[in-house]
Amino acid sequence: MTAAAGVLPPLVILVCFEGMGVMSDREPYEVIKVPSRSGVGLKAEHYHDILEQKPSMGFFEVHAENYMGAGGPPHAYLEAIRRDYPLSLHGVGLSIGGARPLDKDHLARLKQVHDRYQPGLFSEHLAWSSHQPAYFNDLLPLPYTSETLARVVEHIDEVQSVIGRQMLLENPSTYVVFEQSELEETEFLREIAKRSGCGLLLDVNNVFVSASNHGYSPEEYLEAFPVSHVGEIHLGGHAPDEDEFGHTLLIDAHDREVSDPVWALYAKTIKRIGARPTLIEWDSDIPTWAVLSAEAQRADEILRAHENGGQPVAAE
Amino acid sequence: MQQNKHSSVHLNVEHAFAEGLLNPSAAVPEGVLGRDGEVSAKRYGVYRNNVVSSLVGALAANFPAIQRLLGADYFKALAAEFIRHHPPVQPVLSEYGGGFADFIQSFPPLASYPYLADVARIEWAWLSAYHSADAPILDAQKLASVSPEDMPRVVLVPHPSASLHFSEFPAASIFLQNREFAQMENSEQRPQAVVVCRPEVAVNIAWIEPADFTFASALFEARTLGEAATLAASGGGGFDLNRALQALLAAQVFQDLEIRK
Ligand SMILES: [Fe+2]
Repeated sequence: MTAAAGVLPPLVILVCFEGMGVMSDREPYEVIKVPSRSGVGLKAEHYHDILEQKPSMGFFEVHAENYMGAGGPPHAYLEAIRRDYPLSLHGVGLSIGGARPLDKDHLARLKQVHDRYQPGLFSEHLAWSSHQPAYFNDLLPLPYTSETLARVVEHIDEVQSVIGRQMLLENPSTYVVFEQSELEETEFLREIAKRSGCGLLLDVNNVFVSASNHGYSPEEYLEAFPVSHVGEIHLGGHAPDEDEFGHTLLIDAHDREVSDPVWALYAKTIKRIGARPTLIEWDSDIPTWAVLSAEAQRADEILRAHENGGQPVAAE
Repeated sequence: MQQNKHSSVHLNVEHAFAEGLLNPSAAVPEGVLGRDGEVSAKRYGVYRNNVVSSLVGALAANFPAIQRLLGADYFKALAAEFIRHHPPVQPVLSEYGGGFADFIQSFPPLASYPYLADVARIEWAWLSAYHSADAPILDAQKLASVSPEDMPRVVLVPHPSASLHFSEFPAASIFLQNREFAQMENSEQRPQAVVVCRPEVAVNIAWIEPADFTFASALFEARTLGEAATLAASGGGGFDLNRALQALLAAQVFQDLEIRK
């Protein structure tokens, strides 16, 4: 009896790609630079649509932790997609903002995925997610102090030397602040980029979520952001709520379309800093491929409008 | 800048923040503030909720048959209990839940559903096979061409995806009935013995006669064909060497063979 995973497309599609997938010796990938176009987060629900339709898409971004298994269908699908598109590798579990040393085993697995797929971009978060021995599977906040700054820089140095390339660090979305913090987030990120040589991933939705939650202006935050280090932009949807004191509380849910104020901030940012690879993040209540690609289309239009004469940006 | 571990504000803050994430009655950690400096349980609760609900979601993704058997609400409560006692210890969530079957087995409120733990074991084996290393399958010709005098000394090397399961209950049938697989054969028999493996892209579950299980397990423990057959025959109870070997080869559970010197 043959059994396929519930969420996965019919195996017949995969079998078509098997020749260059599971059982074959892989040719090393050529590193394809990620263009300043829009891309989407790759979801198992869309493997089928992508392989069948071969849509025009600037790039796909994957969560590294989803491809750390030894083998099987996930790798076969990703290999097939990687043949046709630039790839961005996004780690979600390294706990770079953690107080304790990085998990060496996990870093080694990250390097393995990196070396296997040769992504054009590689990023992780300014957050922590493990406190030994537990892994919490959430991007948790840290205070911004000279101590945490030194540790984050140390961790980034280690990541960059193990992986052997520059990484991008993403600004977080937060719901709380710490009394212990001594530095502004933008200052903290500027200093990290300066000391470690890493680039930054600017998540415009995170900026809007944090600004709304903490009562500051997202425009002012972006004014202060060290934009010259930005190598990629994220856009995602958030869910509105309120805290027990009646203050706005936006939840970074990635479960819906990008909101209008975030689109406006994004357009303003592109106008100011120029086109950057831009990812649509949609991680729960996954929509149809058509809905997701329409979001990417919208980002692409903003990017194209910025280019001279409205010329489309070449894919490679 | 030199940091003394014992005076690390970073570590202390992280420790206090982590403490309450899996403990619903814990207070908001000191120094964690809302918009106007308030102590906001709701805001800290967003993190706590993200942690628990994302991990419940990870277990639900790994154990859909168990979720279907228990219903979404019961599964959520059970998973939250498991998460509190056994949070993941590394970030690859397709590898989270190896202890879930044992937890179910020793969970007193589920004592009257003794088959559940075996279903969870098969579901875990299915997931492990799905993500296991890819490897070639033993060519049956290779076994056929072994000389009669070498045959008893053959050691069959299990495929990296393969695992054997025996249950006093119809656990494999219950597993299959609760996963939406395109094609499935079922069996009413009990006890049940199955092998779970992924020779190529699809995970298979193949039935073996319970009487042949001793033989199969001996092979999976790297005993020779001769040793395994002797062991199985001494157990009595209708073991059939030919049938057993045919079933295992048909299920493509071996990747290679060696002849033990
Ligand atoms: Fe993001």
